Amino acid sequence: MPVFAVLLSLFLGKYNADPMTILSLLFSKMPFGFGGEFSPNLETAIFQVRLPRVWTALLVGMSLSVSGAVFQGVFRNPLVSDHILGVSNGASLGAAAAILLGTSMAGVQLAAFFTGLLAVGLTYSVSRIYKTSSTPLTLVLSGIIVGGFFSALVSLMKSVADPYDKMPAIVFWLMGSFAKISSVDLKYAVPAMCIPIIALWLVRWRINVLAMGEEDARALGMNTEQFRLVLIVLSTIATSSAVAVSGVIGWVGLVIPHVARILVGPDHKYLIPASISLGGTYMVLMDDLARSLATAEISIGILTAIIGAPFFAYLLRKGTNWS
Amino acid sequence: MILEIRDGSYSYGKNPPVFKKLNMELKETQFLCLLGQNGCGKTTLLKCLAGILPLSAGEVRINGKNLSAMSRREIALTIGYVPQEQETAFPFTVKEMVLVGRAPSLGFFSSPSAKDIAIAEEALERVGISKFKDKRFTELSGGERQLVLIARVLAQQAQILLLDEPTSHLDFKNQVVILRLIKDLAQEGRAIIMTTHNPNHAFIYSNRVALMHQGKILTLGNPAEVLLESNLSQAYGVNVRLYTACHPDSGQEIKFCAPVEEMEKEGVS
Repeated sequence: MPVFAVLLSLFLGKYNADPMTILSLLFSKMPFGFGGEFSPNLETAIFQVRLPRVWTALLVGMSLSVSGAVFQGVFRNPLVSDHILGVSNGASLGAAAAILLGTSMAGVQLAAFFTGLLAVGLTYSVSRIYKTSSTPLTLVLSGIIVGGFFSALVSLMKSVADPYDKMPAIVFWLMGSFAKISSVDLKYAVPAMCIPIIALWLVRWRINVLAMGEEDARALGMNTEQFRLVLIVLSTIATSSAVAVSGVIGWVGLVIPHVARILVGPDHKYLIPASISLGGTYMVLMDDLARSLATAEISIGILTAIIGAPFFAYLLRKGTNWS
Repeated sequence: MILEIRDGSYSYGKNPPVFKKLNMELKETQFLCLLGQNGCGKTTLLKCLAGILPLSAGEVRINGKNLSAMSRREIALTIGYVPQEQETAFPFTVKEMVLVGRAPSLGFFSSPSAKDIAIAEEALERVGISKFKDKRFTELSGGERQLVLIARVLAQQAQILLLDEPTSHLDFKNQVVILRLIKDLAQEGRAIIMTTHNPNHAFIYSNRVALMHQGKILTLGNPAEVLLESNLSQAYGVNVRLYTACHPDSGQEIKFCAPVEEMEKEGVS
């Protein structure tokens, strides 16, 4: 499924070329490929512009969805996501600060990671303050508190930023977009997203054990504190790196795991691969919409929210029994 | 296989201890019923024995080896624990729930293999719930959930089983099925502790009984020695009477007990 979405996306774009030409161009680059003559403009459009962009959208979609599914499993709460736990807002703060200071891409990513992790940590601690039975709602409320605080700090960054240069950069970036992706930016971001995705995929069945609850998971021989920390750190690396390259793209981490759960059930052995594949496909298709709906680019963060929010409302109506 | 607790104490935070300087021992083929009032510390004791809660003082040993020196995984390969009830946030199927019992036997990166699935299905079969293995755990009744948790601990294949009120939500038939099963499991060589609020279970099925009262073990021994009117009355804080009846067919004596305070007040004893 993601393969088809990627191919479709390569066919779309301002530079007109028919699908067959693009396919044969792709084949010509493979070791067993058959040669052919292609215009250098086409090669540039495909390999310098479209391919990095589609590839990033795919990875970002996978990262956000897999972390969403893992966060939901770790906190035993189908209502959480990177956004609700405050990771996105946290990572935004770090990234905005790094942009403000004019650091390199790696600096932006590192800053996004640390503030993202800080935000999850804070959300979890705040939810523990209300000791009255940790209902799914307490965690969501704590996330809103922490997220609100961090987003205020991001606004503060915006208001002190240079209004002609830094501020537009921060604002554009906060709306979420793949428009400015270049292969250079991806040097650190690709491994920073791929490694957690692969690691989470490898340990996916164990998340079922953790989802049994703290005491049961311990009785089943799991070092719960350690495993939970590993999962949170991996998911936060994936999310923060995604936020660092593409800005804040909401709703994907919440909605995609739900759709995956409806399709394949709650067993993480199947849920994680389903989330990865659905998330990647969804993001690539959304990015296609973002660049082809209007003559000017629409921020993908706007699109995912416009589609994600009503869709989640529909899922709520269907009832996925959490209480 | 010997499970023992030596001078064990446990307290939640800075609260007064739930139990203090507690000593107990359990061997293979022993099926011990742990009786006592609500809040006397039965569940906490089980959790400490299972290594879920660390003792504040003293030690738990398996075959002489200190529990605190073992990894969680090592412990889970020897001790299985069944909680009173379980909430799941996700609608896992019964089969998925039981498969989780294989966790301690599996490598960190692996998922259950065909062999694990076979073990889980055997456990489902043994508890008699194969017919709803594809049902969602969240859609089951309290009693059915308990059966699933028992199947899960069987899939874990531990030699020591600690069961927290496994019969509390069960109807008469399922109580008998489960108690019979637990008795068989003990006879096959396992060591089992079960908490219950029904002392009659101890008369009929178990071969060891411990009475717990205010964080102490009052008495521990064979049902016939322990289940005396005086002991039961002390443990429960009400007058408990023992009755004997004859099985109409076999003529075998059956003992059972019941609280009698209300009846005596009305002069009906």
